[in-house]
Amino acid sequence: MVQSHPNDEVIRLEGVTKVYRMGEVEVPALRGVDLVVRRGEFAALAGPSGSGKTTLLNLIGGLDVPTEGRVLLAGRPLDQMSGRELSDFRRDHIGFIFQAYNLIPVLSAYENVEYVLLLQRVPEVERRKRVLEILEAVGLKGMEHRRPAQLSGGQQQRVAVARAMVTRPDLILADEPTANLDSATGEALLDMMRSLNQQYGMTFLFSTHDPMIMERARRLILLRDGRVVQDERRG
Amino acid sequence: MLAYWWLLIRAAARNLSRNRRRTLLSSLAIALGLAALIFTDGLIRGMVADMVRLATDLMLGHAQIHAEGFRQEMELERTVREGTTLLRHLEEHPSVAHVAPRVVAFGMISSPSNVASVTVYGIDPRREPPLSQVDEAIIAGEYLVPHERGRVLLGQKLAETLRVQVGDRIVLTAAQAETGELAMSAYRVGGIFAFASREMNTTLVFLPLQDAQELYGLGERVHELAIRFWDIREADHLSGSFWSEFQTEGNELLNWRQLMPELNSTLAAVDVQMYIVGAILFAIVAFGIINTLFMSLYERMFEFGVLRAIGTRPLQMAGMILTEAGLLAVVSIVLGNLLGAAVTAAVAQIGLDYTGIEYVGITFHEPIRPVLAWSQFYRYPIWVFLFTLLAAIYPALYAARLRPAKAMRRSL
Repeated sequence: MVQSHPNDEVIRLEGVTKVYRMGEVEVPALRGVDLVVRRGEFAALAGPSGSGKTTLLNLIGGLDVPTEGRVLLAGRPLDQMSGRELSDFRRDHIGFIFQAYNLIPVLSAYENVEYVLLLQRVPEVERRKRVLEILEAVGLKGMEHRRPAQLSGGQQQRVAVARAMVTRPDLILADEPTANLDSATGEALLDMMRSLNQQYGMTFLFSTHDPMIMERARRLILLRDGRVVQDERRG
Repeated sequence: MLAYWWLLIRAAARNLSRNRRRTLLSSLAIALGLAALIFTDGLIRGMVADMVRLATDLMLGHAQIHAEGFRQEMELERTVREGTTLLRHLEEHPSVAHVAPRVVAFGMISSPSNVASVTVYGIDPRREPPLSQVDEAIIAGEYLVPHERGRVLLGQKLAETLRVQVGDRIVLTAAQAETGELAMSAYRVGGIFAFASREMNTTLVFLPLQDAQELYGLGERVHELAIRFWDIREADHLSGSFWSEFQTEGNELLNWRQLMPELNSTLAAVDVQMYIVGAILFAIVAFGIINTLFMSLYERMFEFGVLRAIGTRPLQMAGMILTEAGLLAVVSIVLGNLLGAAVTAAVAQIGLDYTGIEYVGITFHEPIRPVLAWSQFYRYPIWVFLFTLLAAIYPALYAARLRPAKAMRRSL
């Protein structure tokens, strides 16, 4: 587990700027974002396309590096970690859910979830127990040996959620997880994540356009043109 | 860790079967390279074996004993020390199949029509046939009969120059050993031979050993003891007991490699040629491998981004690509070995017609048949495996250096 920061901060962003270079042209995606997310939050990053939501999630997850500013996870600055340390940090402390093409197509649902535990060198007996438990928890019991192509979009996202959660990370970053799902499947997935959030106290941060997620989030952070323009906490 | 690698191997196998046509084409390209190497190696082995056989069967034998310095000057007096004793010992040695004593000297041959300078070989008609092909090369008359004297064998070209036929008389003139006095002796042409080499047909004369010893005033002495082993490999054991036993003082014992240094250097060059052929073939194949791996990598860019995102280390990413390349190599090796064996075996049945072609003084008179050897099926496959991994290092490093966010963006 990530060591608890005195203020229970899981994420801290300090003046984070990200500029993409497209040939000669510089395209700013984030302009000096400051943000703190605390343990157990169920927060959504909302905003129109191009507002910088995915970029922000990528920087928080250590998938990309900011042009300026600092990203700290549980007090640890990501820019001071080597490529290998960052990989290990992501493996042990962060779960990722992307909007599509989330799974490794040649691996079964079981193997997709098991993969991260193999990276963590979890012993076989425990690995098997945890994979089967989490697949049951996301409602995929009996579908363990199906490959992604043999699962519906909603089932695939459930496998992705299971994979993100099987390591019991401190933080789950989900990039528009319901974007490719019908509303009933999206709602069921969201309910499941909310219950896992409440049950295990995991911190969730979504990027989304989906009004349903925005409604259910306990905190709504609105981005526009690379800046946080609204940060609203709900009961 | 074993479970992790087992999962990687399974994933690599499934990834390769994802695009079967591409995998098959890439494997075929590598397999063809391997099959070409196996075939080339087989062909060279066949050619080398033929060359060695032709060279050693013709006159040379597998080894020879001479007096020290004889080969440089061909001085008549430099005869093998203790030649008769050595001959007896050699005949009793378990490694030795056959030994033939020879007198080798210059002389002048004359007929009523012409005169020519020749190299005279005094041979033992009984002992000589296993050591040379004189008896097989007779095209007119007969080979020498043991204990019958006064007959000579002439090369076809020499007989034409002298305008003689079987049964005609010729005269050999030679300077005798020690005294230097000229001796002349008349003989009847007993047979005419034709080797593939024009030079041999022009300059060699064979006569019975005792006649030659008498003509040159050598008594029982000889210039050469040609040896044939049961196994030609014995000739290469220069530090073995045979060599220490027969490398006696005043004599020199040389194997066929030392007797035909030009053939030996050609054989050494053949190995270098194989490396060059291999390097060229693999360089071509390498581009195919790199191309295949990059195509597969670009196709699965998002997947690689996800793998990095969920905690796969850079070196583990490289390991995935190398595992896939290794598996591609294994598939290709199986195909290549089968293909190489089939083509080599088929051509060995038919043979490649090199008849009449001369190389390093050796004239081929039979089709060359490629030879299959076990080493071809593990030596070159190991090369292929390592080379495929080598070619995969570039795409593997590329995958290792992927920044997850960039990889995922690039694929969308």
